Amino acid sequence: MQRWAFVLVMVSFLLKIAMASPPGGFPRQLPKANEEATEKLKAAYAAYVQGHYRKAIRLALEVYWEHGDVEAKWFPSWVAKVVKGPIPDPYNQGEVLSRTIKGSFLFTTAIQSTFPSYLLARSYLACGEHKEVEKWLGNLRKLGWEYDGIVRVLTFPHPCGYGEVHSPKNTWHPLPLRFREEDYFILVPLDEACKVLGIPFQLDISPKTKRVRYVFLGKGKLLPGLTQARNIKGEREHLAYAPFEEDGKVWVPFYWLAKQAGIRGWEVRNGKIYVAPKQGTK
Amino acid sequence: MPWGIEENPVIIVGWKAIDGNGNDAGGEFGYTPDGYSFYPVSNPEQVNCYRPSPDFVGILKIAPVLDDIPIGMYSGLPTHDDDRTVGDPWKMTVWEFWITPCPKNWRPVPNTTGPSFIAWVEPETDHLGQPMRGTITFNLISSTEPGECLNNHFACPYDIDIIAGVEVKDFHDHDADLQFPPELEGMVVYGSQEEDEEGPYTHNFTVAVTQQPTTVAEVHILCFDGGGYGFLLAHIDGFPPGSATARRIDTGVIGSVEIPYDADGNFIADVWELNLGIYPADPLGDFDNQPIGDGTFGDGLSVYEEYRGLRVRGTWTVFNPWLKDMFVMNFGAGYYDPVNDRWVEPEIPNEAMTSQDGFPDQGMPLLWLLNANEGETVQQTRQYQDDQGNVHNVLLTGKLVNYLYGYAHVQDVYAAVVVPGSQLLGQNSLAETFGPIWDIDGLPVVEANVEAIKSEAQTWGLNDWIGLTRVIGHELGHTVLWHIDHNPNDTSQAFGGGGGHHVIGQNGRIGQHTIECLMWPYFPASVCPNGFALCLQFDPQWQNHWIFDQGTGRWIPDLTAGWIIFTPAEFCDTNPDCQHLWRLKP
Repeated sequence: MQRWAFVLVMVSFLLKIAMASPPGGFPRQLPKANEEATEKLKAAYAAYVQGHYRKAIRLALEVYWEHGDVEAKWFPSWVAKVVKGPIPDPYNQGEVLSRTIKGSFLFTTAIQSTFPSYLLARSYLACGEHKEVEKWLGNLRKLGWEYDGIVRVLTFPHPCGYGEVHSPKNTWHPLPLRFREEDYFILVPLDEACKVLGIPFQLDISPKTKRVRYVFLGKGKLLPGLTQARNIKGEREHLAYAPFEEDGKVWVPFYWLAKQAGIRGWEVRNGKIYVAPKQGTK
Repeated sequence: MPWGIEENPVIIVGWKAIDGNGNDAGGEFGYTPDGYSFYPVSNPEQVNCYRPSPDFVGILKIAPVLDDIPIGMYSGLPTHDDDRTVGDPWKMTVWEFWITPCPKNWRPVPNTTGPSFIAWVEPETDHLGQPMRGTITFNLISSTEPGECLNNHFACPYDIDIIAGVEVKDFHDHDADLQFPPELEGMVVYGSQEEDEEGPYTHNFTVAVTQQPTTVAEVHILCFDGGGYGFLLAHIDGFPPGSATARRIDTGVIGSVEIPYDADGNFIADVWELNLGIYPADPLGDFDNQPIGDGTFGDGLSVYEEYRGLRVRGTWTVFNPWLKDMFVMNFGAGYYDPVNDRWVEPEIPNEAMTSQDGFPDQGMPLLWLLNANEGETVQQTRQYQDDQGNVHNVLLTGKLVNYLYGYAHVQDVYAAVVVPGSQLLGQNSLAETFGPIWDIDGLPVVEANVEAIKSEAQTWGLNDWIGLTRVIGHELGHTVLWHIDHNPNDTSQAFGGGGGHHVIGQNGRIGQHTIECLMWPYFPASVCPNGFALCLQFDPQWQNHWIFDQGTGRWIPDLTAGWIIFTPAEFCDTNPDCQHLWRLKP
């Protein structure tokens, strides 16, 4: 019954916007987020990708209430580790395209961007709060989003899956694992994390460069310095933050490794990564 | 002859031409008043000229044929009637200096050895017994088209830099397209002396001289350009008659031989024109007519450019001037990364562009996939309007294909550049095309949000590959259907109502995408309600076909029996079909 209530709410909303939908156009340029809003939006984006939807909602709402729908664009910090020379201005579309076509690095895929209404619609959707989803989709509509784009907000999967983890926090346990944070993504050393999480892995080191060129995790595969990957089942995936090698260590976003290990809930508390027990998550 | 007391006259009654073996040399005696005109005469006393047989060369002896008139000059009485006699002949040498023409079946191929040419003197010895040897010089006058074809630079094999211990040939885009090898047996080959940061070097080897006087010399040429053309002239000096320029053995004309064989003089090998049925061709012609499309002739490449060719993924390729060619570059292709010594999987497989399930199809232009380095980067600022009429300037970067042009260029031809990403189009679109395959309305750049396409494909139960093939096929379709505005009443299209954009019509159907071919629907491809090309149409029934899946947190189509299967296996499917709408020129 609840399921059909969702359906009717969403369908009636979509019908409203669809029937009134004027022709689409080039996406309207949103105002550029200031430095503070950019940091919050980056944090909100990382929180959403890592499955911390409530945090994403809180941060995105803070930006929305203060600035409205402003857009943050940035190149993740890993880009500076793999690209020699200056990095283009992320707000200069022409420069980003030009540097991609003239060079050998895909700046067009490495760039990240987000704005509050989009992030809120996605985060609320991941939490199953459909009335809120409807509200923020309405905002997208006002921003000139076409029907197709709005349907995609609803249909695309979430990097860390649907739903919140509700198991009591006192059942969560800390991992004996170092970590660092870049662009609000929690990164862990691959070898240590794989041991802790019980994921078999193998490094392929180039005899020419003496650097790690591939990381194999069962059927999975990571390439330091690239966001393209294959998950542990061998399926192609896109990482929101690229793994990279530093001083012989490969650092990997924890959310992705946790997902490979079947862990749905985790958080950083008191300087440690706590994970929810696998049982009891939905 | 009678004794002189009763002299009778002796007259010339004829002339005789004899070859070196004492045989009749043929030829013709006659009269020339000016040294140029020739009139055969029957009266031998009027003869002041001899014209040898056309094929005669060698030692020639000319002698008068004498006879007496057997009547005494004083007495008027008959005298002895002596037989005719032939006087001692004058000796001379009829010589020729020949050169062979270019073989008719040869056409230039970049970086290959071309044909040989022989120049020789006949006879080898003159009537005085002197050898007819001289110094033979070949002069090659060559084209200097930029690069070696329309999109690849000419790497000079004789100017080599050492970069990080590796020998690298320097680019010499304006070097001679046809040259002699720097070493030819029995000859000295001269080139131009130059100097760069690596030191002196010699290039453009266009003069070859025999080391010793000789009666025969042979040269062969090297070809460095698919459209190379030139002329070869042979000259001999210091042989007994003095000096001479060679005569072609095919036409008998003294002068140069053209390379390649090119009787119509358009710098295109006749053999290529004849094979394609376009002899004699206008080198500037652009009349490609197949596939027919909307009937607009041409693909932007001139006949000469199609003949000269392009590097297509490293392989020199010649095109057919009757067939419309279109070029695409994939910036999401897989590649070897030398810095990290690894292979990187493609973001967008090349098959998404080349598959017969996508853009290439019967009735569509020939699609050639180029490597990214096979075009020249060009930039253009384009203005776009958003849905509120705000104008945005977007700097587009594209790739020009025939940028190394010279002779017979008609227009710039661009590759449709496919770039993975979402930074131009934003997050609410799967892919966007920013200009037609021709110039004017912006460069043909396709940005494809690969991750979004994959997600959408999964929604519809399709694998990534099929999703990318359909979306990119659709976008490539925009580049050749740019001029089609399928929703003329819509005045707020981002491209000024000129088509080429995703629009939603007023009646619940998608504007230009109501065209039922790969242009729509690329998604959803598997199911559509009856009577609609577009599945996500706004029919009241629609709510019955979508469900929210709590497991995945996504809205997914609920396949029901009321939906029909609609898989666009062809680019052009039903009426009105795209095969008769597209074009490659404005």
